[in-house]
Amino acid sequence: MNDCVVVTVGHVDHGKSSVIGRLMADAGVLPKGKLEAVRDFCARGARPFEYAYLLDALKLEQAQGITLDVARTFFTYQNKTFEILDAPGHVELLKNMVTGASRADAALLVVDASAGVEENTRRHAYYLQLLGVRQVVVAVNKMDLVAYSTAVFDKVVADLGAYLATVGIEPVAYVPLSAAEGDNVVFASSKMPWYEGEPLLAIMMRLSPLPPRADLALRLPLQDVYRFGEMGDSRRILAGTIVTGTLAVGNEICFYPSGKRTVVRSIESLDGTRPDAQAGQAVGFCTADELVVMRGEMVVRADQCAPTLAVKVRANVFWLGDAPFAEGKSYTLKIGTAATKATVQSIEKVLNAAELVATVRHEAGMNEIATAVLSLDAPIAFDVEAEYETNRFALVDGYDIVAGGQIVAKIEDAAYDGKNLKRTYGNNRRYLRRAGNVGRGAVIWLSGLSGSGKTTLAAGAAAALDEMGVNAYILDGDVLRSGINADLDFSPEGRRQNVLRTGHIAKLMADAGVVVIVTLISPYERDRAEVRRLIGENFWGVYVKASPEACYLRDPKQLYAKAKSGQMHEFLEHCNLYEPYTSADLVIDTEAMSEVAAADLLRDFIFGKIHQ
Amino acid sequence: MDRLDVLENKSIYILREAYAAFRNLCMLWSIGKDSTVLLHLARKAFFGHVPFALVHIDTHYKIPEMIAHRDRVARELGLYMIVGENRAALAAHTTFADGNTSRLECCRLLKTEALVHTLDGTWPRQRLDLATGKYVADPNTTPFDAAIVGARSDEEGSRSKERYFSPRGEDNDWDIERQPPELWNQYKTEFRPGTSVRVHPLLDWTELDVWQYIAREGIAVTSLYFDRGDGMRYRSLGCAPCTQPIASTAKNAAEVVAELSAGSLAGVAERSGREQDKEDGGGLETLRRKGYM
Repeated sequence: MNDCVVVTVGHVDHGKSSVIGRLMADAGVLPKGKLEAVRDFCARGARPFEYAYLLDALKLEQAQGITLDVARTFFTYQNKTFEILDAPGHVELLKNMVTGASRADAALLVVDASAGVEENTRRHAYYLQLLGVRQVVVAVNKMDLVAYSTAVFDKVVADLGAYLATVGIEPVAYVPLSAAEGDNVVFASSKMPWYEGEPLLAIMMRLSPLPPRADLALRLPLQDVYRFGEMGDSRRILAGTIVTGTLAVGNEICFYPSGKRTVVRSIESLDGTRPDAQAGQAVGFCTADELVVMRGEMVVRADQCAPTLAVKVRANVFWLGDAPFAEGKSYTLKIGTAATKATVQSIEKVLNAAELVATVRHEAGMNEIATAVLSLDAPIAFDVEAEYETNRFALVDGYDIVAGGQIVAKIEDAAYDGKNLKRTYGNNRRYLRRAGNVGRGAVIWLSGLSGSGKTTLAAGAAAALDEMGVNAYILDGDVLRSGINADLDFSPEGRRQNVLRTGHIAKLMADAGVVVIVTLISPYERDRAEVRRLIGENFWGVYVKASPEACYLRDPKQLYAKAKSGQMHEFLEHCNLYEPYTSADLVIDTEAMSEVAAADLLRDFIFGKIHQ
Repeated sequence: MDRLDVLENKSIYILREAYAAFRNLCMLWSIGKDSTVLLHLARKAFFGHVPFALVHIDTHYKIPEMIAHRDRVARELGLYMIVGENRAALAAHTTFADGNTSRLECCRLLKTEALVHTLDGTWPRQRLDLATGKYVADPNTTPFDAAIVGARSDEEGSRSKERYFSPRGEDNDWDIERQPPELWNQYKTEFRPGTSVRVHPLLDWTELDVWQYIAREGIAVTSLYFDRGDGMRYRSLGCAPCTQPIASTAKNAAEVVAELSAGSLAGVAERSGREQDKEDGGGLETLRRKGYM
């Protein structure tokens, strides 16, 4: 693909927006009437026209005169479509610049010839390297203000060149130009005969995105596992976007960090199946074995090199948060589609990117770059080789992304490394729970006579769900009756309160992401309806059905025996009071199937609901 | 991969991230070309299924063909189709067409207000009964915590500053000055409870991309976008009183592509037929700050 995303960076007021505005005006790619509209706007406001206003589309911005956020501008010139990300130059708006640069194919670094290299010129250049932007064009702007002096231009090239060399950037070109006068933007300037290169647009026409690397080993962060059973689709599709490599039907694949293996049975799409897929494509596939795998695993090919697995890493972290990045603090680390808790074990050094001076400190502030050792709650899979791009991560504090970073090395951890996969899988399950990737929270309400099999059924299903990584919890009505509900009797109102209080507790737990399996006789239809209303859409009622005779024979709590002996008169009465749960979402007849079959039925029902 | 392939794959990635991140997700479907492309992308992302509700805000001033198209497609695809509206404003005739408000105020009432309250479940939602084709009250009033929207950044200035995942505050305000960073393919997917989020999978698409994709994929869009014999067609669809057709003889998606790339529309602003944009220097930004799409 020939089209290109270009981010414009550089110090505030060095003329990033002006360069792009002039480029579009002179190239004749502005929408009809846009130039006139902005000239008219300036005339009405009695302010001098500037090309920058073409991009500063918001009223607010025009009032302040700076670009506040990344604005996208599209133009097509000779069949090549550019998407220009106009990033703000103010130091406090660095996170916006980073947002733009992290998805750019190339960068235009703008330097004011009359001001020279300034703080954010250097800082932005450093960030380009950190974010992986490898193609950089330097525009030395405002040459008109320095009388088109070759000496001034040479000094900027020398100063900036020395800095860029130290951070590992080799610019595609340095172009002396004037956005205000239109020199060397689209048209070659007669005022700088000493410049032998091409105007900016001609150089930009040769930029193009680096294509996805199909030649590398497969890396496919698993995004989700879809089952659309309720829509009449029996497929179980694993979905994700291929970062590098290729995938084909018949490939043996391996999941990291769980270590599970299977074979690709089919590659699915809206228009039918296909034989293979490659880097850059958002795909879905079915496997030969129905493994229980979840979002966050890295899918790789068994015949290709494996990624690195680690629970401790050294990373470069560029800090964007208001509160400082500090030792001992914990954040959520998001890498690929995985997420885990990361604790800052130590900060080794802090770099001021504008001065390239590293200091030994235990804290980093906003816009600083720290090299730190992060200790992770669960193993992650990545490649330190930059071409895979699987070492890039974000840190989240509370609800906010506060940093980006790249892992530079795995740090050996004796307690983790060399352990068997079972240990790994155990860790993985814990992290999946924490990341909330195990489906949504829900309340599964098992109603039925005492002895109908609620507790056995709940235990079987909960164990099976736990095995799959689902955070399931059994909320037992008997347990609550000896605790929080100890004040309640077995009268209709006492039973109602018991149902509602249990419902409230279950709802809170479900909101926290837990799959709560409630076992409670709950004999009255009106109480069951009330608790369903209380909990709402995450409530599923299950009627655990068994005849009183069968319950009597099972008699797990000797209640029927006691009732027969007259000690629990009210309980026997309740046998008659129990109103069959006709509005249940699922009926499980425990007399008609084995314990295992009943538990499997409930497990599959729950799994389907929490992944809807 | 060509440009459309790159755009398609990225949009699918964003749709799947949204589906993984939000419990009560919906997609806004204006019946326009952009959100119709979004619907097609959702079917690609989820292998023929649309696993969330489609929400349409009916101002009752929509061009009738749009409503017919909506219901036909919803029944064909078996969509969970929800319609919301501002009943109070319609009953009180506080609309531009009734001569009682400005265009912008009318947009705010019939679209923005209706959208905000349909999403949060405080106003009634009507759900299409797929069997009968009639709308019935939807008992589900759970707030949607995120809405997928077909906004494109080349439409006008304020949209060019959007994030892929964009939080709206408690008053549905869009805080342009404090937008979250987005790094590589890591988006902000953690939000304070009560935050309403807009997800924008089409930000990187241009109008031309959308038409090229419609032509390539054979996506059914309403015939209002094409010349049906009178030499006029709509380029951008809205309410009848505020949307004007343009002179054009393009009769299908391929002809629209030709017209946009080299013909009479090359370089003419897309929303030039949308009157509310012209009322105030930054009309759409004012609306977007309050929750407009």
